[in-house]
Amino acid sequence: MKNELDKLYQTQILNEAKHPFHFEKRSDLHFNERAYNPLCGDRFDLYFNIEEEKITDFFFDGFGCTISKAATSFMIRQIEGQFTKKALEIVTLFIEAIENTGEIRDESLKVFEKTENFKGRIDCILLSWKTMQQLLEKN
Amino acid sequence: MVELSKLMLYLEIMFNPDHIKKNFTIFRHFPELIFVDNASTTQKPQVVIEAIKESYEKYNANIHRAVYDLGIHADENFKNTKKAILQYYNLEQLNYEIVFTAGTTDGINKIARGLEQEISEGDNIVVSEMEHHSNFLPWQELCIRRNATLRIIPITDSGELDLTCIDELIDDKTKIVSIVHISNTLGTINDIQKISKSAKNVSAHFFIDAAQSAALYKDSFANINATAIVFSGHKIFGPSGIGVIIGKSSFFSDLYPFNYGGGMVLEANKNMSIYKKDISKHEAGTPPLAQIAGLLETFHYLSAIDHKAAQNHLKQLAKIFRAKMNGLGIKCMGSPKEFSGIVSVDFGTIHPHDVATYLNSKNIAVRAGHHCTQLIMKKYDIPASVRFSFSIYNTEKDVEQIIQAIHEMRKYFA
Repeated sequence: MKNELDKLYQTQILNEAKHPFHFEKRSDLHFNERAYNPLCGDRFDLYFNIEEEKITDFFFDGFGCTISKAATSFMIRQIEGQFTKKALEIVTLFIEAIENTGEIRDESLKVFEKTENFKGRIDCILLSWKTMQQLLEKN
Repeated sequence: MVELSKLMLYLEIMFNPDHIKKNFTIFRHFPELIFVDNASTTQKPQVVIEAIKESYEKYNANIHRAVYDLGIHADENFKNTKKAILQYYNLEQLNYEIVFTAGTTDGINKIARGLEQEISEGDNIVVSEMEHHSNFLPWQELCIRRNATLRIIPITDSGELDLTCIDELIDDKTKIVSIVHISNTLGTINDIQKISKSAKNVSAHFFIDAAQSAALYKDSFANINATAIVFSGHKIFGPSGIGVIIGKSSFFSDLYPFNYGGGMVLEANKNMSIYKKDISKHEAGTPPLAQIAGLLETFHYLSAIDHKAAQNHLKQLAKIFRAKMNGLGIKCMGSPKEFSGIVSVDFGTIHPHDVATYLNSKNIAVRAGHHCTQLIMKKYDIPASVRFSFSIYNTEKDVEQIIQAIHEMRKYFA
């Protein structure tokens, strides 16, 4: 059982959750979108700007488990600085890979590739990713 | 009638958690399992599982509409289950009747729908801040539909209902008071006797959400004079997919039917149909027959348990758990004077799902989330908690193992 636990809480995930990227409340940024899972109470506020169709200055804060926090942090690393079209492509590819246990090409996201390690925690991985996908599709 | 072999089994139950554990097959399949998610659903004794299996194998036939032997047996089983439930709660002489539902949620929703015409603009319905969503949302929606007011008895910091304001909240415009007996999140045992008196003083209906108390607090209801008591089968060691409304005969008689279809109609006409007057007007369609067979066996099983000893056992486990958690400097939610075996915990910086996942790696099954009591979470200003809910097959050794696992978990996530 210890191995299964370590497969879920891989060092990379634990470190990312302990030291999340751009974890700061930034109400000054133009966009503020909430990622919320009412079943577990996880709630992240995503703050970012879009300038000339490019996502700039992406931050988040809020409450969530190790997995959802790390996954949100990884997402911000992935799409900050990207054009919105490219960001939507990245987000959609990742969600499809997780939901259909497909291949993840990006090295930094490969920690999530073996979804059998995340039984019952898929919603945690995808919480912010799905919120961002919906928002980018609307725009 | 209980068979002799089963009776012998039942006699072993008196009251030893280790013996009781042997009645539950799941622990034979998973001997290491420490199941403390009992407020969500309980495990099922083998006799209940056998009864369900037997009902399909030997007695499968529909009720009401058959004159052959199997059908007659199904009818008898249906009636006998209702009788056994009323006897179990000492309600058989007090003009109560029973309607089967799909569960507590279904039962409360059906009552709320059936009472629609009794609620007018300016009336009020009283619930508490401690309610499970199933005893909150149906009443909130009813109030919205009828322009009535929902009044909420607040919780104190210790996790008890603040009954000092009860006579202000319950007044002559109150038509319904519906209260949870035992909180599924805090474990608080509420003073339903006192609240019932206030409701009866203004001739309001008094409903009890007994989802967490129906199994082992059977003596709580006979002196309450409640309009109806609502609970589920699966939280009392019985089958899922079945629930019970025990209601006053006069209440069911006045209540508008909440489901329409086969078995409840006296005369179907092209323009307007006429419905039966008796309890069957609330029982449209085929009831869950196998679950009813399982429920009858559940009540046989429950009848053999020493309830006072069981209540003390749950209280003792919760007390030890709380004390040990305090020793670790971890905060349990509320500190009610009267409590059952349910304790919720705020682990601070360690997220409830991470706690639950870690404990799962130690074969400990707990629930993480808001437990369908978002008002309680808001009261304590937390998004979610971890709930430990003990039952008759849990032991002090289970508590020790849980505490040890929590100790190790804190190091893991440090």
